[in-house]
Amino acid sequence: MGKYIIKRLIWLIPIMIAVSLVAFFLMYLSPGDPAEMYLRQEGNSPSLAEIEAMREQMGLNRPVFIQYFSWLGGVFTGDMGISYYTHRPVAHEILSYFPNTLLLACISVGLTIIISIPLGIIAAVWKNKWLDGLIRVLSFVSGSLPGFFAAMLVIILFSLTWKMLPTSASGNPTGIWLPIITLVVTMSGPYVRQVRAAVINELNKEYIQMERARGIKEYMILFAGALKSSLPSILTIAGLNFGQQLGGTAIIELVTSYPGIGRLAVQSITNRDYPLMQGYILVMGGIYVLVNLLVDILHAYADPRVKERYIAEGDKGKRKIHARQLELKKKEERKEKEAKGACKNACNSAGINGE
Amino acid sequence: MVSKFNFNDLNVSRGIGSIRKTFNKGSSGKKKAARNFKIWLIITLSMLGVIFFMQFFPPYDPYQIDVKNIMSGPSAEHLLGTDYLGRDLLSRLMVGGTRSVFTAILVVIINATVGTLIGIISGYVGGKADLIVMRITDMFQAFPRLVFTISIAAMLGGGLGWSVLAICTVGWTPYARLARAQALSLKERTFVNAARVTGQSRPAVLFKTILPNALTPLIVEASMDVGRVILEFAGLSFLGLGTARPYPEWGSMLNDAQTSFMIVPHTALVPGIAILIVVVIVGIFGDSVNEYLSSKED
Repeated sequence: MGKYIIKRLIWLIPIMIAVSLVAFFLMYLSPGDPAEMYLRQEGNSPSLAEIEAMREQMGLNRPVFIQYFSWLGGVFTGDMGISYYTHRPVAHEILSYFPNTLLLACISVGLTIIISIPLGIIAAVWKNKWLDGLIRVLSFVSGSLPGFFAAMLVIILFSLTWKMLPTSASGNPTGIWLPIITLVVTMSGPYVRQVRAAVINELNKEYIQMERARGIKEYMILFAGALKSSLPSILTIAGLNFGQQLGGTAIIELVTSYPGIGRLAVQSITNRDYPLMQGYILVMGGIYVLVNLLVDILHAYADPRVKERYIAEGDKGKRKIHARQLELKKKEERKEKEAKGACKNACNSAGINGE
Repeated sequence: MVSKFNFNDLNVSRGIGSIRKTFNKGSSGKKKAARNFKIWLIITLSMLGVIFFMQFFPPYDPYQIDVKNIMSGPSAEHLLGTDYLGRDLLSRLMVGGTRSVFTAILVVIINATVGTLIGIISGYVGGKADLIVMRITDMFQAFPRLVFTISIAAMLGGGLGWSVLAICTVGWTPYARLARAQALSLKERTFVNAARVTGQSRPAVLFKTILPNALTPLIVEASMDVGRVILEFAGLSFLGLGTARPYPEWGSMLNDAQTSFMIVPHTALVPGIAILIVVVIVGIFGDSVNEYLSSKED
C-alpha cells in the first residue's frame, strides 16, 4: 500500500506541471492586453506610450517561456502576482476567501451525508412502497435542479416568504445558511440513490438471510451489515463532492453573494483579472488532485478488495514476471497438444488407411 | 415438542419470499424494463417535439419591450407574466427552448462520438499513444469541471459557438475512458481474435467487431449526460458566457431574472421550472435506458 501511495504522489508532479501550463496559457491566450486592462482599471484611458511602459514594467515583452518560468518561480515562493482589479497580491486574495469556502464545504457535505443515509435506508427497507416512491421522486428532482435556480428558490422561500434568513449571505452571520441549504438540496439526490442501491443490493445477499434466520433483530442487520457495505461508495462520492466544493460552487456563491472562492473566480473572469484567475486554477487544481488521492486511499482502507487491487498495481513488476511465466507454460502446453494432435491425426489416417 | 415449533419464528419466510422474487425477476424484470424504456422514450420524444415546434407559435414577439407591463404577474393577457422589460415570458420560453435543449443534445452527440473514437482507438492500439491519451484525460479530470468550462468559455469570449466548444473541450474525457476500458477488455476476447484470424484489417476489426460490442455502456453514459449538459449550458448562459443577451435562452432568462426575482419571483420560476421539468424527464429516460440495456445483457 505504501508503494502505491508513493507512486501516486510521484504522479502528482507531471499532473501539476500540466495544470500550471494550462493555467498560464489559458490566460496568456485570452483576448485583450493585460497592460491596457491594468491601466483602465485605474479609471483613465491610457495613451499608447503609457501602455508600452506598463508592458515593459509587467514583463509582457519577454518571450513566452521566460514569462511562464518567472511566473512559476514566483509561485514556489508564494508570489502569484498582483490582482489587476484589487491591486492586492493574488495569494492574499485567495487565502482570505478560502476559509469561507472550506467552512461551507465541510458543513454542506456533512449535512448532506447525515440527511441522505437515513433517507436511503428508509427507501431501501420500504422498497417499492409509496414512501420509497416519494423519496425517489424527490431525489430525482434534487439531482435535476440547476444550482442557480435552487439558490433563487431558497432565497424566495426562506428569505422572502418565511423571512427566516437574510437575502444575502455577505455580512450576515446567519446568511451562510442560504448556500448551505441550496447545496444540501441539490447534492443529496445522488447520495440517497447510492445508499438505496447499496442497501438493497446488500439485503439480497445470503448472509443477511442467514442473520435473519438466526433471529438477529432487523435494525441490527440494517446498521451493521447494510450500512457498512454502502459506506465505501458514499465516502467516494462525498470525497469527490468535497473536492469540487473546495473549488467553490461558483454559481451558488454568486447568487447568494457568499464571499467564497467560487464567487471570487467568477468575478475575476468578468473583470478579466488574469493573475487572480491563474492563481485560482493552479491552487484549485492542486487541491482537487490531492483530495482525489486522499479519497482513493480512504476508499482502499474502507474496502479491502480495492486495497488488494492497488497493491497488485503497485507490484506490476512482479505481475509481469508472473505473466511471462504463464505465457511460457501455455506455449509448452500448446506444443504438447499439437504434438498429441499430430499423433492422433497420424493414427487416424493410419487407421483409415488400414481399413 | 415438535408441534411447538413455529416456522415463522425463524423469520425465514421473508427470506424465502425474497429469494423467490429474485428467481422470478428474470423474465418479468426484463419485460418491465423494456416497457418502461418504451414509455419514457415516447414521453421524451414527444417532449422534444413540443419544445421544437413551440418556437413557431409564440403568442407575442419575445423581444417586444412593453413599458406599461413591466414585471406584471400572470394574467389572461400574459399567461406567465412579463419580465423586467415587459417582455412576455411565455413567448420567450417557447422561442428559447430549442436552443437550450437541442444545443445540449448536440453537445452530447459530439462528445460521445469524439470521446468514443479517441478512447477505442487508444485502447486498441495501446502503447505510447494510449499512455498519452490517458494522461491528457487525467489532466482534464484534475479540474473541477464547471470552473474549467467557465474559464475556457471566458477565454474564448463567450457566445453560443464558443460555449459549446468550451463544454466539448472538457466533456469528451469520460467517454474516452469508458471506450478505452471496453476496447481493452474486448480485444482479448475470442470472437475478436476470430475476426482477426479471418484476415480482416485492423481498422475493420476495430470498427466492425469491437465498436458495436462496446456501445452499450457508452449509450447509457450519453443518455445520462444530456441532463447534466443542459444544466451546464444553462449555467454558462446564466453567467453571460453562453447565448448573447436578448436571445431568450432559458439560462439567460434566469440571468435576466437575477435582478428582479426578489420582487417578482415568477420571472425566475418560469424558466427555472422549465429547465427542471426537462432535466427530470431526460434523467428518468436515461435511467430507463440503463435498466433496459443492462437487463438485456444478463
